[in-house]
Amino acid sequence: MRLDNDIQHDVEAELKWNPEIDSTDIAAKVTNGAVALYGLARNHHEKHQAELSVKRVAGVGAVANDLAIRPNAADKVSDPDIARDALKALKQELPATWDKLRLMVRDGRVVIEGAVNWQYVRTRAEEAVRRVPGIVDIRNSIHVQPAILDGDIKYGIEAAFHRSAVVDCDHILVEVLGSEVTLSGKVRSWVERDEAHQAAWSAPGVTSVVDALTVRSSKY
Amino acid sequence: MKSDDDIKRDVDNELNWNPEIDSTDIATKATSGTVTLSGFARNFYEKHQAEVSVKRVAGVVAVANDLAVPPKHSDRISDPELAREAVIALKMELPVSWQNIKIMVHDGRVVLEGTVEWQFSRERAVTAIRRLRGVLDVRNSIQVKPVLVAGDVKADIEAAFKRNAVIDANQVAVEVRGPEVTLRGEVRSWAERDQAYQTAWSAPGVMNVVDELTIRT
Repeated sequence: MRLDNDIQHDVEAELKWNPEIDSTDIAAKVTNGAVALYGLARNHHEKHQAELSVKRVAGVGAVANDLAIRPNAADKVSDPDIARDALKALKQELPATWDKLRLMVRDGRVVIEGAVNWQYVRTRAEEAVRRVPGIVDIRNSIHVQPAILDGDIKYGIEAAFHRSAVVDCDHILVEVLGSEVTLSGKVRSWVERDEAHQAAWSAPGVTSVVDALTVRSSKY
Repeated sequence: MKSDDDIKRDVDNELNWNPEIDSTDIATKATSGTVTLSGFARNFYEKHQAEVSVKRVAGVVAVANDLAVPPKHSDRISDPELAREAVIALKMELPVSWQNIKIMVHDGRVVLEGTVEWQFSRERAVTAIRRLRGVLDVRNSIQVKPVLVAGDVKADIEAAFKRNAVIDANQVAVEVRGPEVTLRGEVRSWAERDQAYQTAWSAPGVMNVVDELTIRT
């Protein structure tokens, strides 16, 4: 396993490297491959970008994103304005399903709720809202209520893993209990982990995917 | 090496599997690892998603996306209205750079022009427009004009490759000529290829990245 010092050095370099973020007030602490991010980001989008940057680095096993959003008087947006922009963003992102969702905004903190048929809708809703200026925090309380309960979930997911260029199906175990999927085993990167989740959530009928995967870099 | 029959079978299964796509009218062909998509997608976003899905499949070396997006009456939106929506989407996606981007809409086909400092802005402009209702096509003619002065571009990119969890830095060569970077070598998947491409674009001063990477199967 990589030394924490080496991971720390690379995480700091990667944060500086990402042109989408200003890492001046962002700090990272690495313990046994788990990275804690703290300090200040300019907005929610930057906070998220910092997390994505860290996940690209070899040796990073887990990330705790404790970045706070820098309070900036000039950027202050009223709650009604945030709500209006968030609704607009949702409508543009999900023209067919936005009306199944509800938004609540309080002091720049947004909660999204509702029931949708697929995880991808849940993910895209959060991505859409993340772009809205003035947001301090997003809580995604949308739940997935599949319309179709069809087919062998375990078989479908394993077949998806098998044809994937990125996921190594020999090292991941798929367990299914009702509509809940648990993924366990080892992946070599966050890219592989995300692909595994994407495949799992594509199975018709899945309501939750539990992540028991460990990210262990095959480099170093 | 995976046979074209197996690649086509897996590509078809992957397209069926993706809940964001209705693959009813999508036809696929695989020839020496190159996959051609033909037929129809319901909208431009779905056309893009189909390509993304194909690139996930092991053995796929290249993709030709010939999917057509027929104008749909239910999504019919006038050009001025689409242009308005596009500006709103762009402003939200790129609060600083949107002012330097020009949007032209003709019969649902969008062309983006102008200049931005970074490739990520150029790509996010397309992402913002791609998902809008009524869009049949997006052409990205935005240019990247870096403002930051280049440092040691080759060394910086190579260091970024080394620390990246997915890229095998020993297999990818970085060549720099002025503001242009060329990537050569072999990668194991489209995911790795995308990482290398995006990383190269993050070096200050880069105006163009030529991707000559090949996918090893």
